Amino acid sequence: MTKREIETPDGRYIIYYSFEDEEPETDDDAACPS
Amino acid sequence: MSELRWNPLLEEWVITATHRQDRTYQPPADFCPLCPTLPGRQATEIPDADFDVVVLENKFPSFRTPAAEATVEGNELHPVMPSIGVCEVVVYSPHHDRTLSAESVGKIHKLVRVWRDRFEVLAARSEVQYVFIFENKGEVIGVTLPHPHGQIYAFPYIPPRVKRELEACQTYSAKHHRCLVCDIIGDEERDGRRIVAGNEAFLAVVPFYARFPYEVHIHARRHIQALTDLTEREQWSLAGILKAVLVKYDSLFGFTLPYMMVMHQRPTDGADYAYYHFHVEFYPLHRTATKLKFLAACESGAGSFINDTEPEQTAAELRAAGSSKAGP
Repeated sequence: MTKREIETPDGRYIIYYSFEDEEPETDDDAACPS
Repeated sequence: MSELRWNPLLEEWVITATHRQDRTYQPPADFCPLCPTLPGRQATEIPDADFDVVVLENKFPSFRTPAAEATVEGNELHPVMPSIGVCEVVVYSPHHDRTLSAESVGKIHKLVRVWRDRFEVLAARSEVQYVFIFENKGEVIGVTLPHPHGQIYAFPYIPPRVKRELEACQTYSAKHHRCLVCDIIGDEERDGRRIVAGNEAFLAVVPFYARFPYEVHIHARRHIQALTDLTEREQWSLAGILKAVLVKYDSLFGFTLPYMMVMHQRPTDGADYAYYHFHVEFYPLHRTATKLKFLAACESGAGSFINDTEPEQTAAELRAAGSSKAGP
């Protein structure tokens, strides 16, 4: 999980969460380890 | 302008936040402030589309730090407190029309990890006593922006409904030396009629005492107090059971069901809440495909809910509704 934080012109934060290469999108069944 | 005003009759705070009257209400899809900004188009709240989940400070917050200036002065009978805290918006996806129920278990697992992270970050702030993670979905619930998103309110106090649960759990624990919610889970499993779905780490039920016809509570089977107590495998389980319940909701009446979703976790004021038990609650307003449950005089004025349905029957309907593997 990576977080990238930026600030808006009015001083609020925006945090982008990315999960590149950590948990690739899979179908529902494969998503759950058994 | 915003402040907390004390209600001495109910001994609870009311959040006054007059600036929220001006917040964006149901804009056309082309002007959605939670869609990423497109090249050559009007800037939105989210400049970049490269994300899985994005968290932003609410533009129209009920709490903020530093707190907004109060509109009135309090007195002994009517105390006023600064509405200090944090309000965040959690945007589930760059896609405007994709509800959480349509996301994969893998994507919901990412959201679980973001919720955990926000709980941890906000809980560490000295002004925060309670981190409330929730989602309002659908116009009948009062949602102002249809883009799929949830919210987080980092309260400067423990909200009253959670406080009542804490007191009940503490009293039960002192009397029986067991956890109240653990015993509720055991009773629901023995009975079986109100179970909606389950996996190795979570059990979803229409509770015995449901206030809304299709209310569902998802209980952690293990005695834990917060998202941060979940193991990696349990995080997948939570994603799986959320997906299972959401798919059932959307299969029930043939349209994507509006609901409120709330997470009840331990407070973050530093005290010991080992007697409490993490769970998630869903409150849909629909009692049929075309009729809503309103909070009318008995609910709003007397504080007593009337449920027009039997939890055993609505649980059976939800069990029979569309299925998705509930995960490990």
